[in-house]
Amino acid sequence: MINPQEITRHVYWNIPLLFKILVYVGGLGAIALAAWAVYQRLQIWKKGRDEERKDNLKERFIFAAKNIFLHTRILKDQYPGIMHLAIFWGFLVLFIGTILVAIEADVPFVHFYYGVFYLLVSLALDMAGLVLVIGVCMALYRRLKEKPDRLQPEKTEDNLILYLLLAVALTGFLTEAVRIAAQGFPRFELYSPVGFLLAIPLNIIGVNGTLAHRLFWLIHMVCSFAFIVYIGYSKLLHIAVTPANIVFRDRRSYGVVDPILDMEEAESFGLTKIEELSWKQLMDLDACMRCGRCQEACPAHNTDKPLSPKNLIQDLKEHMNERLVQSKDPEEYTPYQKISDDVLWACTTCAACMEECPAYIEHIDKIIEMRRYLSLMEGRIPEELNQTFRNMENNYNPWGVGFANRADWAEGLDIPILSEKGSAEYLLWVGCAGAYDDRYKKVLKALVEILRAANLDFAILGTEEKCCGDWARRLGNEYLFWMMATENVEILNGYGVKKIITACPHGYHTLKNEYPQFSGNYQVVHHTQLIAQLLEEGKISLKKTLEGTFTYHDSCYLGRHNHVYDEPRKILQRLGLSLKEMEKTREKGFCCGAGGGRMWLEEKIGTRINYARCDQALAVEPQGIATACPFCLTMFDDGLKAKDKIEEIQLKDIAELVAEAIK
Amino acid sequence: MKVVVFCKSVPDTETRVKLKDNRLDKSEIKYILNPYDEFAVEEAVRMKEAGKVDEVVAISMGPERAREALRSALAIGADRGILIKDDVLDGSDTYVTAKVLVKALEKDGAEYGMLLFGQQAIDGDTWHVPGQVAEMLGLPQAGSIIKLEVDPDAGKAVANRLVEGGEEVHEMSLPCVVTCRKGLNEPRYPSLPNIMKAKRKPIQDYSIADLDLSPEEVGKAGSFTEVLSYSLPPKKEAGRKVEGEPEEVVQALVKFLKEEIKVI
Repeated sequence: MINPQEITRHVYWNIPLLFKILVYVGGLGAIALAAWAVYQRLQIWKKGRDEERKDNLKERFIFAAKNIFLHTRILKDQYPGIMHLAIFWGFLVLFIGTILVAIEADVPFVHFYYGVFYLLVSLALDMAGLVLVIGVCMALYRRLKEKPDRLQPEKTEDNLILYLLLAVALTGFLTEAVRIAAQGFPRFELYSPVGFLLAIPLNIIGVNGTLAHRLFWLIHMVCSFAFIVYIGYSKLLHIAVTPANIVFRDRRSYGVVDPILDMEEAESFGLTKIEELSWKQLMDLDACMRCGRCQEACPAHNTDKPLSPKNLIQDLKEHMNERLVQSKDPEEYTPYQKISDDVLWACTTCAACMEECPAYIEHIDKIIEMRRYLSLMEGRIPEELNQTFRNMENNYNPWGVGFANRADWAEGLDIPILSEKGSAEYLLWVGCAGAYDDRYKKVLKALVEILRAANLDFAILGTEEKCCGDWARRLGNEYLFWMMATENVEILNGYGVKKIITACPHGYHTLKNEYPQFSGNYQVVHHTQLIAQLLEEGKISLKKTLEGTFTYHDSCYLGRHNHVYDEPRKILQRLGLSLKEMEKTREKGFCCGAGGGRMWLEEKIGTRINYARCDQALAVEPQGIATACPFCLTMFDDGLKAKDKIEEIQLKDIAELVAEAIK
Repeated sequence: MKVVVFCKSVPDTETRVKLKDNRLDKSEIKYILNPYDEFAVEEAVRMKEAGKVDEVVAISMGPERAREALRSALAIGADRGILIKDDVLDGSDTYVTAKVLVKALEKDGAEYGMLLFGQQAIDGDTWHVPGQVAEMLGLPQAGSIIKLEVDPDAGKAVANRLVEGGEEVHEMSLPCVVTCRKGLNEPRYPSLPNIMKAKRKPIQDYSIADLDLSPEEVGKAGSFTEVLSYSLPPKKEAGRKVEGEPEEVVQALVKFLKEEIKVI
């Protein structure tokens, strides 16, 4: 039995005093340099506008901790997820180990690095080193061999960081191995299995002396310090920034944007100077690692539009550095030199990028800020928008059909109008599509049948309803949105409306999440939520079972923006339909191409998003496609017509299917 | 050089026209700046932006709501507005309108280089007023133009009109009258700062008395024409569809043409 005190290693074994001094000077210097760089970035973000992001701190930290330590979001993409997890945990354990060793070496009268503890720490560190090497090799394989599109274009730092990490890990093992060999292979060092095994061949070829040990040790130290310094001056900055970025993430639904305050008094609108972004929006730019998950998910990028959310953030970051680090003239250097109008108009605000981003960067609000500049300041809008905006101004709907015709769809249906009825439990928010689009009028009629079957007390606003303003807001015309929103809220509050049913995810999102900005606070449900509830509670009963295989397309504003994924699917199954999911579904759903005001823009660049989505749906060979959004329905209708499949495939809103089954 | 653009507040193109007591029911009408006038305002503002014009004045005759039409013109970029508003103007025909507009022009000072109109107002659709104003002032005019080149130094303007099979090119000395149509330009969507600025731009109000006119000279009293009644176009009847084999369909059609409407 050996004395546990002898199961240990002397921390600075074989290291001369001069080297020791260099370690302390170098180590502290490296940390100071990295800290200084982080401090500098902090000063840059502070130049941004103030924004409240410190509410619910406890929840914020718990959420961030889950994402950091468990990699909840990073792991959603398997290979790179595991790769990063390996590097992260390997690195973290080694970092903790280094701190323990430093305490043992430098804190007087503290001595714990021996015996069982020593063995466990040795084993943990060796395993961590191995995991780190595996992670780095996975990353190198990806960068050197697989070269996925989303990682292009690469920068020198990308591979340099990996080589540096590999050098740190390998020289660590070599130092350990040579020490074990030089100490004559003590049996307890089998708890450092990698070092022990590595020592055997090294010993055979004669690399086992104190000189070799010192050399490896020195390289190990130099690489480690270089790495620490590099944290401050490369994308390794994410070690500091990304966790903070997750803590301060926007806790609201993805698509919610802030209103322009003092619309009447403001002198400039939208993003004219980069410092008009908030500190958090600036921090976002530094949190980006160029991993490209956003770009891979982006429907615009996937159909050859010039938009890549990754490049957008990187371009803004470069501009931020030009302006706020190099202090270049804001008149001469604007964000719009790097980011073209076509890039900005290509976005469907579907939030696929935001759902993917492991750093929780918020892309949509930046795009909207920039669109506000184009729409409100410059009037630099695609030609066709001119008419859409005027239509909304004059007739309160994007089609421009007379506002007096808004209730025509309900003629003969005997639907109570709030101005005549006075009050009702539910207000049915018809929406522009329900009121004016011939195809969607049928969906509204189906919905009315369902509401009647459930004996709900409901009414509509009739011609008093105006466009919810979603399109105007997403297209950057905040002034128009503000007019629509304030006028609608005035009417709704005037009737004391409390519960609203919407038949459109855009109205749903806008009324539910954005009207509170204008004192419009209502309980808003989308028709699929309400129908699911009515079925659940037995308030409507199905008279027949439908047959067939359907696929369901998630509307972005219902799904990603508001997490309504299950209700539509439950309804379809309840109806007796068998549900076949597309490859890109639920959180990973692929936009139909209409969101973000794209409904009203020509799609002149690249291929059509709705065709791409139709192909994805057709790939599962369904008999029918179910939607829950008028604009998704239109996009599929166009797409299926173009593909000559409209006769074969049933294209239905969920309300229509339910109405059929309750007859 | 000052140019003057004439603006009219008209019901939106999508208005569902309803009648009440033999008059237009105005309760559900949304009023806009006459779309043809927008081409005129846009063209004038572009001339100003090109440095050819110093001031763009927008004039409207109409009730209080015409002020909004003027604001729209100011948002596009006109510098100031003039609103001729008087209860006794109600019932004025195009002749009186032209007469009043000419008076307002004189009141504002005669030194204008060009008068721009929309070719027609989408409500009354008479196309009268620009020609009447030009005649009253003895100015050269070109109607429904699709291209305009102005040379203030040489005191002339060249305007292209679309005619059947080609274009007519007119050279006119300044001042002159032009009426504008689609194809001349694409009116801009006003930027928000310009919409806000438009709210602060001056609009001068004139009554009949300010223009040295008496109530007898305007309104129904001063007009040559009077609107007696309004009626909506008859409702379109549903078409009739003939189905069957080609021979049967042709026979049915021939029978219809011979016996029912007797054209063959």
